[in-house]
Amino acid sequence: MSAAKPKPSTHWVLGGFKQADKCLDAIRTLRKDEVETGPVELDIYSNYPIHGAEEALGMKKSKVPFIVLCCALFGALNGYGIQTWANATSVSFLSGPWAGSLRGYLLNVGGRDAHAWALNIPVTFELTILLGAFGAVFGMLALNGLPRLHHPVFEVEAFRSAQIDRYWLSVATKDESKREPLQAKLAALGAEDVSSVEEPAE
Amino acid sequence: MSSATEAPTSATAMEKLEVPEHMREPALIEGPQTDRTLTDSILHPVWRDPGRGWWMMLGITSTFLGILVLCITYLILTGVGVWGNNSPVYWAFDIINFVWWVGIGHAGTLISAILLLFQQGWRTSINRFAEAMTLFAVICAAMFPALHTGRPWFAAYWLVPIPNTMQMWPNFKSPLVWDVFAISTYFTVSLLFWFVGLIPDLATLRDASVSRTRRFVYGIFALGWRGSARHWNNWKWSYLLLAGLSTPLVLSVHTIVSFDFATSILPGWHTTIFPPYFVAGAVFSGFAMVLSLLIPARQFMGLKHVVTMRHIENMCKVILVTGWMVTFGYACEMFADWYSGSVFEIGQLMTRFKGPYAPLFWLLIFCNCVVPQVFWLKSLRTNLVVIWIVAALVNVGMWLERFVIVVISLHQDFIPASWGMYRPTIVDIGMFTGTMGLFGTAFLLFLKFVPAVALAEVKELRYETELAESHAHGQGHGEGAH
Repeated sequence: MSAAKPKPSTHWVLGGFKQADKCLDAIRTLRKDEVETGPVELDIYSNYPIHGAEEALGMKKSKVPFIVLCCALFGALNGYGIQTWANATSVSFLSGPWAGSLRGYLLNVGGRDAHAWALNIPVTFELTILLGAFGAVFGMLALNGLPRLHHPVFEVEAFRSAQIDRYWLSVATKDESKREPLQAKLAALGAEDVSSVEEPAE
Repeated sequence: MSSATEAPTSATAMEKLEVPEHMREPALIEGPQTDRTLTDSILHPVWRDPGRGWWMMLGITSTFLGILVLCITYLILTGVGVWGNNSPVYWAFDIINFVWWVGIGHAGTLISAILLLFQQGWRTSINRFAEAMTLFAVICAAMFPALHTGRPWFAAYWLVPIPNTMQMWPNFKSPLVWDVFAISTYFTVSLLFWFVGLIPDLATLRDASVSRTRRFVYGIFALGWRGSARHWNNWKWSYLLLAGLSTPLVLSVHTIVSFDFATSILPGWHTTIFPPYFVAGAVFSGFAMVLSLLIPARQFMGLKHVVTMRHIENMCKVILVTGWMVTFGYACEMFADWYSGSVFEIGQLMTRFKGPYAPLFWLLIFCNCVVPQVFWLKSLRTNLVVIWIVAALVNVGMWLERFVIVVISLHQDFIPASWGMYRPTIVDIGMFTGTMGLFGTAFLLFLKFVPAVALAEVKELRYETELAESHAHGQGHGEGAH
């Protein structure tokens, strides 16, 4: 296999800041100048959520709540459905050679109705919560693209401080000529550590 | 977080507010701290050699864990007859311990979820600890009903709807099946909530570690967390919604546990006050357990700057309040017994007061209703020795409460001819102390391998306090460290 033209690799320019607001200001400046630098992908890294990061990056509202709602509703249907199927199903259908029936385990306890809806509430409730929680956790991981054990930003040794006491920002660009100017720009905006990583295209 | 902003951490801010000395609440984070000092001090117990004390404690707890394994093996090889349960007391230590352990877990969820929704800043440095307690307590609890089935390897067919060739399905109208769903959901959701909170801290452990092995192991558990703003945006929603889901869940769990009793017709069990008073009792015993563990742990692990007297005092106040809720529950129950006019209900009440197990009943009243009243005095609820003793007595009292409900109600019911006494066997006692060994072992391992205080959340609290302070002083946004 020989590719006619190698795909351009991505260049990650990283800058570490001591103060959260300097990092946010730098992001705002970079977004304003995006027109001249061309399309870049910006991100902020911090060891706790910092106020104003969403607005500075112009991020949309998270999709996690919607995922949780869907999963919780599915859990509720599932919870009610399995109880009705197991303890209260008795249907016959068709006739002749195609006749069939669907029968659950019709347990008569104390003469209660086979389908006693009030007694189905606890299990329905628990499954609503359980699947909602699965949605919250696995939905969050999926939206964040995790687990992903390797990422270009981890190539920078100093980036380890992002999880300790520094605020980092990254600018990703496909244009190699932008790399040097971006590094200079980050330093001018107050970044203490500036470095870059090349991520080769697949 | 509003309560955090009420307690400025720097001395200058305190002077400006001019709060009299004796009215100042202790801070939630003591001393001038930066992100670096908080990271170093909270991660220190993970990096350092655990020391002789830790190994000695682990030796004691794992001995009891060994006793638990022996007892379970003997039980499975012989049958549930090795327990003291017999006619008419068919439920005894197994269900008492189950309810007690589940109740203990409830404080963890209350601290992590309900106090998060109410934006209580003081939950932040104790939530990780309390959630771990929840997980281990639920494991200890779940063991008893599973073993009580006699053949736990068949329990799957009886408890959860698994399609099988025997065409057997659980009876969904039974509170015992509801219990299975409640407890398994509770454990799973608590584990997920704990893990989601832990991911950012695992990433810090990964990036702060010096050794390659640690970096690799913590790196795998951190799932590649980068702390990107996109990550945090989704994480915040995930964490908040998990708290929102856990809040009704924790109330439902002990409610469903109380249905095991309340839906029966036995005098002493057949009462509508059970669900709320079981939940209050669960929180009561859970906070007592958090205090019993937290007071020594903060001392030995050097966490006094993040688990301050303010946290401890607040927990004492919660114990005082829930203690009164429980007392009110007892009073309601007694009133309902008398007001019913039923000879069986009144007879059951009199058996509690004067029957063969009466000393245990009065000890329960002493531990749960009288002892917590010492917390009215500030001098006593800030005295660590007093707090520890009260917490221990509350745990004893809550265990006795379940003993009173289960054994006293069963041993003398409607027909005097079927009355009988219950005495635990050595296996009963071995299994109960054994679960404490399991709990203790798991807890000691937790204290060694993961930060016992939610590091990212404490740093966020510090950052928010600082932002609020700098706004109050008109200095614009937070400027790094103090």
